[in-house]
Amino acid sequence: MIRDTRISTGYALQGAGPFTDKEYTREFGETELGRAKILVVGAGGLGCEILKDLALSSFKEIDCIDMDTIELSNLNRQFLFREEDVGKSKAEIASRFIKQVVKDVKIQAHFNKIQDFDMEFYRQFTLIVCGLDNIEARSWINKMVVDIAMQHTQYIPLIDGGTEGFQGSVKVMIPTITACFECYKQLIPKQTTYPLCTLASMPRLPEHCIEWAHQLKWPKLYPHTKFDADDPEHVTKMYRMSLQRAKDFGIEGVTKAKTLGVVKNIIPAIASTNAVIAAACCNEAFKFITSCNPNLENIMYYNGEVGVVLASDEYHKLVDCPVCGNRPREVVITTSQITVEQFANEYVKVRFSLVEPDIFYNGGDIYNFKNGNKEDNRLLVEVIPFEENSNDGQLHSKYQLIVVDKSLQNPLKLIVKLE
Amino acid sequence: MNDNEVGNKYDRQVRLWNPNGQRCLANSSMCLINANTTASETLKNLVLPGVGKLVIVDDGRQTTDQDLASNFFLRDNAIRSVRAVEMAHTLGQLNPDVHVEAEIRPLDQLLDEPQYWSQFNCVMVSSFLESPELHQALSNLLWNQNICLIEVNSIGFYATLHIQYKEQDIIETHDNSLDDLRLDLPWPELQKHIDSIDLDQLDDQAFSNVPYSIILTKVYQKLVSTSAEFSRPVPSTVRNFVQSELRRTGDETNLEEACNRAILVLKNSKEIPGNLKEIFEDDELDCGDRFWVLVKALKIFYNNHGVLPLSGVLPDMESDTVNYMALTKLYREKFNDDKKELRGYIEDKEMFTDSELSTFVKNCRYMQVLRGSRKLFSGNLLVENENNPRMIHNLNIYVAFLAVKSFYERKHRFPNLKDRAKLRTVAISLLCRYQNVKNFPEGLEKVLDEICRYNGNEMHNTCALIGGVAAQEVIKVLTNQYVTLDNCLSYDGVNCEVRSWSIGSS
Amino acid sequence: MQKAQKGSGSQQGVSVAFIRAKKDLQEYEEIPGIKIHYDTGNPMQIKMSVSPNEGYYSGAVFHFECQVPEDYPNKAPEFRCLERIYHPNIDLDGHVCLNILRNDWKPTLTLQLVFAGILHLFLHPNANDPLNKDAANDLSKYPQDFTRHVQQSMMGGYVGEEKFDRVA
Repeated sequence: MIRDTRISTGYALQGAGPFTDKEYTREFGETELGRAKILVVGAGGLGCEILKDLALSSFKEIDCIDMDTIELSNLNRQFLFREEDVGKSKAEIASRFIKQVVKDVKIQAHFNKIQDFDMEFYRQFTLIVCGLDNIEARSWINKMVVDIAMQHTQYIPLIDGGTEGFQGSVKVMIPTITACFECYKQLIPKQTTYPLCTLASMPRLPEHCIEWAHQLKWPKLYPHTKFDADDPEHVTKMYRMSLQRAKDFGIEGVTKAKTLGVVKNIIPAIASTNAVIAAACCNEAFKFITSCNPNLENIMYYNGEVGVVLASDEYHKLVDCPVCGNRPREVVITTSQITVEQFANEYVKVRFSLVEPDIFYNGGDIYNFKNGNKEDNRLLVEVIPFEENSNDGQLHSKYQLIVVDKSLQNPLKLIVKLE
Repeated sequence: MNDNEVGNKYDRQVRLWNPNGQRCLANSSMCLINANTTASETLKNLVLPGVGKLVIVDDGRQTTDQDLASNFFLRDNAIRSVRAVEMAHTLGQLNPDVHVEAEIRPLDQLLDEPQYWSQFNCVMVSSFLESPELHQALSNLLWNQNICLIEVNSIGFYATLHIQYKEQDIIETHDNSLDDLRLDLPWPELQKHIDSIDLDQLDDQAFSNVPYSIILTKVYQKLVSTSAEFSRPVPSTVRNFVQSELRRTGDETNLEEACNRAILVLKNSKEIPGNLKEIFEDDELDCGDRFWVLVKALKIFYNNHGVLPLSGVLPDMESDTVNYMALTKLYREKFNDDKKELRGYIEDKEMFTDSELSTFVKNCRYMQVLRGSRKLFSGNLLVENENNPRMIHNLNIYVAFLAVKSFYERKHRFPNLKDRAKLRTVAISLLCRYQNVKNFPEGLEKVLDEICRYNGNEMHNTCALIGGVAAQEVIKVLTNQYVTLDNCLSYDGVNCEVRSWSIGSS
Repeated sequence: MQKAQKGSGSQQGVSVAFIRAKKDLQEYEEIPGIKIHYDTGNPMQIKMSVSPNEGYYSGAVFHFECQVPEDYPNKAPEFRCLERIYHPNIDLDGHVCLNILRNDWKPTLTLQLVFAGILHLFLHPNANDPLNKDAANDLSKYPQDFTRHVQQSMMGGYVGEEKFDRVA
């Protein structure tokens, strides 16, 4: 006897319901669900829930990336891990656990950073669900899916969950079509920072004493040892320094817990909020892939501190978003004999009426009018890589070229096409 | 938070409900009736944070294919075994600190033993009971023992949650505005301290280290004394005064702060929130319960002084260490004095520990008393929200579950696509019981049709979500912290929305 | 476990921070008293020298290293003074206390503005935000001593117990 999750999900797929798009058919829903390949980014508090929820939503192929290993303080919510797993890869242990429980799902674990993989890797997925605890990784994945949409017209939806204590949110983002993660950044509250002079000469709070030890004292005392918040010995040293500082100034309230909270920037986390946010993410993923019911309009907010608040809201794209704000323009060259200087001048500066543009790509600089490049007679095709585009069979520059200039509000993105 | 608890597995949650909250969880006992997916998803979120004891009551039912399809905490080999036992086993593995057990005696038998239930702090029912009589018996029994009852139901993309409690007295509501500066009403020691600082005598550097609360109090008093009759100065007047009379080099960040916080001059220290006034007039005031003993003492304090005891919470302010610490000391001393006076109003001096009183004094302004009801619905809700389509939609979901419940109690099965007409009839007769409901609410038919698609089946994501919400409410009840739902909600997974409302007792 | 195949991540386009730094530098208009140097291929690390032409510090040259963080412009750039100098808002390790680099940072600010902010610190040192408490105290209470101490320190001499780097 083997578990068949479709006994449950099948009810939602059997035909159009009162809120379903009228063109929906059972065959469509089942086929799409069967062939979807989902990437789960993060196998922590949200990630464990997401993996479970996706597996029980009848998704059959799931990949999971996480660069972290399991810690004791994860166990109050990351239910796929046991005390004996501490120190092992989160992605691997979580994937193995899910496979044991839901046997007909294929899960591939990647004990890696997201930056270890290239665009081709990410292009194999139908949809990405993120359960991350930091903005940097979210921004990176977001830019990846937006770049894929811009360069390959392949739209991989990104569903992003986030939690903090009793609060959380879910964003459903269709790259270049709805607001992207970068568009939402202005909503993110600023992290608390303390002026250095407060830390150095007029501490008032226990936090000031801890940050003084963290930012000023430690680097001075141990110039060759980078502070590691996961090393208990380091934390103890940091705590002692902070405590001494607090004593010197008559400040109360420096505890080890507070020290750890400040230096690690600990965000409180509980199982119940993770459950709510992950379930909402996976519910949206299921509806998106199968079309069995409509998706939420952009963003959902959750707050369980006073009663229960769970509401969705529209959020519009930022016109001048640095990531999804403008699509790359195509520049066609008809011969491979064009020099870098010719290209910079005729095809970029003159054509887009720029003042003194700087042209570069991820492989380095191409031409900068301001810093007075000398004559550059190298051929463009020898300076930047080209590859055959799968859509039109022509040679396209493999990467976007970026142009910044005084006259441009937003950087210009270019794809060079050789016809 | 105790330093031995640093880095332990509860670290991330103790930062939300403190060690006292964690102790409440560890010492709590909770019962779950019906071992379905909604139950297991709720239980998971109670086992992980360390709720001491969890008991699953399920009449010895066996695991079916339907159970396996959506329940992560039943393994393939659990098929046709007693599902409560299997679930208790897998869930118990999540946390060695927690005791999870299956109670296989049938519910009706357990309901004959009222004392059995007194061991629980909270009981949850995660789907319909077989008969209205059983439901009535359970509800009566728990109401009389003042035990919280949470009812959750989940079908397809929809779910509902209803909490029944007689009374919830919450001191630690975790309101984040505990600052209590008393700009308009400094106590004598604070006034003396403020008077000892002569701004005109200070050099630029010392001047820039005067905390903004002192500056605002000085400006406030100056403006009040120069006006003919008492009138509270408005923030813009205060800002103008600071800018024109006090500015020196332009680099004074304390003055900038004073301007940014000028709105604080509007805060009347003598005013107390409306709900606190109601609590002071409550009938229970003399009942002698611990909570009400505190409230009674607080009322005496308030009547004597016209203000509440000082919360003792002082925000950070631009200043140097010496100035700020002097201020901190004054606030802490006043807090301790007020706390001591409050203790004086309590007959049994040993009734509360110092830390209990500290918590009370710090949070008393924002405490809440919630009174529940035993009613499952009120027709008024449909009338009051007539012009709020989103609310009507979520109320429709709730009505649909009431209709399914009624259908289930009669036929002992769930409605499916062929029962759409029947379910509508049930819903109409149900609504007819509420005299003020004149029309079949807009959109109810669609909601009834949607719910019929699932033949009463649970979908995992819906169970996981409502299980998260249910567990959170259980934790609030058990820790007596944050503010419990008052008292009903429905979740719509089609639109990703929850709406909640209170069903009053009248 | 599947190991990363192409390891470098260079497939990903240029980061938002990188582009923004490039843009800031492209639009940078020379500020009298400030010189900047950077490798055009790496706009995230900038060397800056400040030569105030008036005030306490005129006649000296101060060198700074500016690091643009990966989440620029959401986070402010970081500065460090490479010389050991006597200044109320710069400590002996080169940390700089400037409001727009901390609490008052906004993503709409640019490198141009923070460069100007650093220069401003030399033209108008601020005693209210002391990072070097002694210097701040001197500036506020004994301006003449302060002037003398600045001169001494810039010549590479001692102020109290501390020896400073020669910058004049």
